[in-house]
Amino acid sequence: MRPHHTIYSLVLAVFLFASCKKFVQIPPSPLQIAGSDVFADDQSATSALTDIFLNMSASGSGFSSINMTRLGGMYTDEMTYTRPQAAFQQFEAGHLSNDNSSVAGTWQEIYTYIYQANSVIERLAGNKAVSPAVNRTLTAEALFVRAYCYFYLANLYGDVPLVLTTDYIRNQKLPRTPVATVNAQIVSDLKASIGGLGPDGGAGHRVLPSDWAARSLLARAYLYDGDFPNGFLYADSVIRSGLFPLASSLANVFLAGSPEAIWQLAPYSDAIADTWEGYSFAPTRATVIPQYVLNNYLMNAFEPGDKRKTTWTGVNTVSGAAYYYPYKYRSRQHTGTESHMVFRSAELYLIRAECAAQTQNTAGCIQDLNLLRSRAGLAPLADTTDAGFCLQAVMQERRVELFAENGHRFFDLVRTKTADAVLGPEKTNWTTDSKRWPVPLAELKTNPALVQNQGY
Amino acid sequence: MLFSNRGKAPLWPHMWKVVKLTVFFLTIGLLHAYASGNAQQVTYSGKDIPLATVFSAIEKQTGYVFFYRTEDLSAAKPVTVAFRNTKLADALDACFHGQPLNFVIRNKTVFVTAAEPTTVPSSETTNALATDTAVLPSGLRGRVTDSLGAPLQGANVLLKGTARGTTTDTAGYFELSPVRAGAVIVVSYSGLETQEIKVRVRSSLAITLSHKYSPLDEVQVIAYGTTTKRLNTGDVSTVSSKTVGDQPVADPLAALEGRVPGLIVTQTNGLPGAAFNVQIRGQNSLINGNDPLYIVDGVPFGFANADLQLSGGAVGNQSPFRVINPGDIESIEVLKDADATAIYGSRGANGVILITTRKGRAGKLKLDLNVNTGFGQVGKEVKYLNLQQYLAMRHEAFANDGATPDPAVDYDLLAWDTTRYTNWQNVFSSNSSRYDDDEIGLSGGTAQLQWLLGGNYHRETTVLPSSLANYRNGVRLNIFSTSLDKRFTLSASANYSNVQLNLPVADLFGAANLPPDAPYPVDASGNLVWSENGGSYENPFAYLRQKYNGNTKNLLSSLLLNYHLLHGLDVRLNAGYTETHVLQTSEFPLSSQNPAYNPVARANYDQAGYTSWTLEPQLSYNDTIGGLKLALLLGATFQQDLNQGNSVIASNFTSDALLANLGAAANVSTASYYDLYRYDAAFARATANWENKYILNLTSRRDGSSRFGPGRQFADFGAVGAAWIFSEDRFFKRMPVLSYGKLRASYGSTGNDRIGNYNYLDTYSADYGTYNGVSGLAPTRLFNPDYAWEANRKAEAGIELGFFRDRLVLMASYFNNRSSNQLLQYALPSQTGFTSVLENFPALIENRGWEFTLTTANIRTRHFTWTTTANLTAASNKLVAFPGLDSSSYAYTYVVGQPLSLMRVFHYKGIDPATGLYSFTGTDWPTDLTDYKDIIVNYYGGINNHFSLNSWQLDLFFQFVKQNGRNYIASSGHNPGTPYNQPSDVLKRWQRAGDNTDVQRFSQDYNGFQSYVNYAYYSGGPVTDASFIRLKNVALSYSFPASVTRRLCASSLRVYATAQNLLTITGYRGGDPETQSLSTMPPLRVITGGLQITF
Repeated sequence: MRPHHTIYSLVLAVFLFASCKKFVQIPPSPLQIAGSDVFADDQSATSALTDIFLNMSASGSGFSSINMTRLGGMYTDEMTYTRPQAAFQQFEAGHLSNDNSSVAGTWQEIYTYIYQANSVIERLAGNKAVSPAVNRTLTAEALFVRAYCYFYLANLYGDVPLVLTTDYIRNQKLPRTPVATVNAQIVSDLKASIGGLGPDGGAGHRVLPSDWAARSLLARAYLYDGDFPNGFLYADSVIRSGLFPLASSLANVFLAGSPEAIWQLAPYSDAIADTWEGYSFAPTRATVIPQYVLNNYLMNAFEPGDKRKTTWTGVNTVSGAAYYYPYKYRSRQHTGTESHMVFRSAELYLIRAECAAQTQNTAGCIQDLNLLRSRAGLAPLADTTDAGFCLQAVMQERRVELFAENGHRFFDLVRTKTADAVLGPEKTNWTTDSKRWPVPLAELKTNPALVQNQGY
Repeated sequence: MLFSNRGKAPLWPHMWKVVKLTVFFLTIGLLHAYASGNAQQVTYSGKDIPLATVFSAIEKQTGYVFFYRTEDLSAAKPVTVAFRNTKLADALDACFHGQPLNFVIRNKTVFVTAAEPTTVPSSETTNALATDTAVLPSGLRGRVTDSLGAPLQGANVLLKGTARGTTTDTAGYFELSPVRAGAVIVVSYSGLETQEIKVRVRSSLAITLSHKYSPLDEVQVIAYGTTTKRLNTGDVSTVSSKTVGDQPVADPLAALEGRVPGLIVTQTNGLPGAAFNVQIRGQNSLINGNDPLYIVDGVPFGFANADLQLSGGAVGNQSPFRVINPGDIESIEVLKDADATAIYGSRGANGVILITTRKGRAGKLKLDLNVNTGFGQVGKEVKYLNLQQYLAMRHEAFANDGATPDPAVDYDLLAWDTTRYTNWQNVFSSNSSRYDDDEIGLSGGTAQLQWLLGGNYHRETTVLPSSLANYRNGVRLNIFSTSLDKRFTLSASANYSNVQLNLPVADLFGAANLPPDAPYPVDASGNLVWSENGGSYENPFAYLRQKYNGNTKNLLSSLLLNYHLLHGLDVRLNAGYTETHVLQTSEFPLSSQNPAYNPVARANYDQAGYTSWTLEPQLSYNDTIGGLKLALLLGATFQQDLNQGNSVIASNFTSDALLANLGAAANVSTASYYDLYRYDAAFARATANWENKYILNLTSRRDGSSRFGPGRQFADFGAVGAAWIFSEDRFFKRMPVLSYGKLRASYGSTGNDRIGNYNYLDTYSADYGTYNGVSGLAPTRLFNPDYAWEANRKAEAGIELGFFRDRLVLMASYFNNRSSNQLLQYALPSQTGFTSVLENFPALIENRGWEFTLTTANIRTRHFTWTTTANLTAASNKLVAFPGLDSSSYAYTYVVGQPLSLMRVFHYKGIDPATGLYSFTGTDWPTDLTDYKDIIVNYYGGINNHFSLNSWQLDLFFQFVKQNGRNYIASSGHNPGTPYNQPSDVLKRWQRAGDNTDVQRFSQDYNGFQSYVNYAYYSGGPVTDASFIRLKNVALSYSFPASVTRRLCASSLRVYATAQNLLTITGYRGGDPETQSLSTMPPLRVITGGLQITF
């Protein structure tokens, strides 16, 4: 072999093999971004976090956009679905099977958001590529979302796996964590988020959670947990900020930019309607039976003259029968006039009132209730020192103020331990175990460490 | 090496005997042959013996025969010899020393000729008369060509009885020095007759090797080279250009059905352009790609390998192979075992199909014209109920259910004219499709440059009541060039084709079950009819007005550069580039849609661009050291495939006339796709061939694929293949009937990377819309850098036997392929944020089976020949292990120890005698899926008989498949009794208690429907034998004699007739046993006639 041939061949071979490794490291698809690149600048990092709100708003069966409202409504004494749907019929009957699609879907949806929030928190920790201000806000928003998600998980399913990282190899084996630990995490996440979330975006621009939304959720969490002094404190701080006065007219409460809105889920850009509630609840024509019909239990709960009954419910008469439907949201189109309400100050008044009654501040309680009563055109309640009466009045007021709104009725009945007494007689299949939803069957199958709730 | 030192190893001789004896007795059993004498050694002595006497003694001892003219021998001197176990060749050398004679040995025959003239039978050897044994002063030079004059590169030239030798260069030349006059050189080339030539004085030899007539010596294309069946250590099946060309098919894959053991090819639809399912040796991967790797002229056919889903309108999925004209194909090779496929590394798990196209040849200018035309029709119709039977079925259903027809739905009984009878199947498929195929080829060349220019045109209509026609137009150019000094060669080819598919958007055949009294689809003025007397229906003719148009433009090009560096060493570059553009539109004009549903004019567009390139630098070294032929190959591969495109859905067009104008659509939504794949590898192959007797082949490849995460991108694959051609062994040469015998075995590993791109990354992709003005980025999957190749280990052993000078060749092989490390969607609890992640599972799948090929030349006379070629495959598939199956998402799909084709089904208990409905032990899904049924092909194959009588040639090919399938009840989609027509087989339905049948009572209500659904889809009830024997192909041709062609100034003229799917014999109830569906067009029976003329 002639020497120069050998050298050429060797040089060629070395060159070729050295380039092999680089060759198969391909650039990412222009249609997708690798996780490491998402958190390399402010804009895409913001998009990663915003995707949570985008999906909460865009999903026609999202827990935050409509499902808590309608599933909670059907599971209690608020509403009935008038079309055949086996999964929904289980809610109305008061007993859910462990493979109920809505039960499974809710669990899955919420944990998807938790993964996204965890991934934002992890990737932003110590991240210098994202500017400090954006980093702080996004991290706070992710903490808030995580708390918000765990709040619903814990109140629906009881003990749930507390997943705080994105490491699926570890996370897939996590067992259920006691509710108390989950609640502690909720409180700590919310406290950590306060100060980092943006200030109130101003009336008409409250589409992202602010520090006030975190305080509102804290107030609610403390109330549910029975920590009334803290509940009072946080509810009071939101009300006393003066940023969220009650809307003077009931018709304006659910509009985009409602003065009493603390956090609203705005319709996403491609939405077919302002809210999924408006789209689903408001009937297409006056002559059809609405899809979701309000039960007589609820309709009879309104005091005579309550303007909330006339303003926030509608009625279709078909073949001589009246069918009432939720009408807080009226728009079936995407016009930008309405936004789905997540937190509004009326709830904060009710939280403050309840915490006041629980701490023997009956006057404060009555005062807050009368604010809502007077807006609804009802006579004020007389002052009393009877805390028991006050608590009952709070529950009555919550029932008619917050009906068909994010499942309040269900959570209220469960946390005040009145669910069995109220729903037992009304529902054919209700059992004392119905207060907790079952852990979805698919989760039990894929994670042997999970244990089913009693009664399922 | 393994064999050369066998004398030294103490154990080896004993084992060697055992192996020899085993093979020997195997052969004996088949042959009833005997052995005697010692084949190649001579013991004889005497003084001044006449040559003829010595020859007859040698004949007796060796079985060799001497051919000579007595007068030639009379000039010879008597010889004095003393042979004692002397090698035949040496003995002959001694006898011929100083004689005025030449001799040549071919096939155990010694041809003896007078030294002047120097002609050797059927060769053009020119030798000068030898007078002494001096060393030739300037060595021996020569050139080796085949009988057509084409130079043979790589022919072996060996100095007999020594280890010295050389191989010919690209132009067929060789040089050997020093050489003594009187020495014998052995010139061999695979596929051609070996010649022995005695060297006289200084000479220049022109050696012509003639073609052997053994099927074993036909050239076989393998990875990065060629070999012959005889010398191949791997398992490769070749389908010849004749086999492909004899079949009136537009898609090369269609020509493979039943032809190759181990290969299952299934047509999915009888309409033009439909895809084929192709599987080599079973399903290796649970959920990932099971398609073979396709290579065209050494370049991966990226378009086919990319698993592109081309919608294809009515055919559902379009075959990418339609861009290749079957007439351009020289051969198709199917590579099956590890030895043949391991060099393709990660891409070779599912076998490899090599397509080689025709090349030009040196010689005079040649013009080839081939014109072919014919028709196609539905071969096997389904017998549906006629009008009276249909109406009786409906009335019986209502009577059974105790119900009366409902004016709101039962239009067939209440609204329509119940005296009108339309046989819908006839309406849709009684037409004949037209088939035209024309080809033109111009070729020629010199020793330096050979070229071929070809064009082809194909047109095919459908059997539908429509004038839609489908086309392919193609041109190709092929050039082979050699430099003057013969060191450099260039081979380039380019093939461009344009395929135009024009089909309805849906297969109308599915509407054959319309009620026979349904309104006729078009009224007198040509408008679509949507209802009659208030009874509406889905008008099937709407599909004829909803057109699918698919336009594929494809360029396939390849380049091979070779430079001969020095003795035996070549440097080579193989490059390929393919580009495919697909433009598809499906139009739904307003006028084709039912006005009752407030339709809008809409159209779908799909635009895909696919480019792929490869670069493969290689070094090859060939040398012969004594009896050892060594071939080394070292190379690297770089490959990139890029697929990108857009799908557009547009609606609310202002006018039906503007469906091609996107601007006229009010609503437009677009989706983009992008896939980049890169692959590189370094590979090496070493082949050692000891006297064509022992062959060892080692291959290894280090592979990198962009489909895996960092650290997992590279893996090693390799194989070892060995063959022992025992018929070359003296021991077996004593058996007169055995002309060929080979034992071969191979073992090795390949991988499967057909798992999609980017799947290891935790990618984010854009969600639709924005929130608060900000777009959303959603995580699409978990980060899993650890996933890696699916590994496939292939083991194979084979025996190949040729008898009666290879007139009967039998090949049998056993394979056992085990694939593991399966990449599956591992189900996750959603608390992880996802419901699954792609992971490697230790699931193990085994495919094993036997493959047989038998080729016999039954009759071979001067005027008449009859040859039979048959193949048979019996294979099975088994899920050997799947740890954690029960907790995985595949728990109700697979069963360990059972084939993957198994179905988990409800236990079917027959028809309930009381209700007349199908009954089951339980119908809770999935817990009652307790029964198993297997939809599997048990064995399959084909038999071809070729007859040739003077200028007539006839081929008859039968394909057979023994398999289970699901009967028409599973594919009809509707419960008998509902307003859909049924095959007349339903007349044997249950009517009264005691009826023993598998069709439940006619019913139109929910109970009947539910029971039918459970039966048809979730139980094993409809699983039935779907075996068939098909007269797949008949080809008859006649070649005109020279007296006729001369008058036309042509060199050949041939007329022919071919038929495809002529006859099907099956017990399968319902549609075609291959497509097993009532709603898709069955494979057509195509009959064509044609004329081929060469000038």
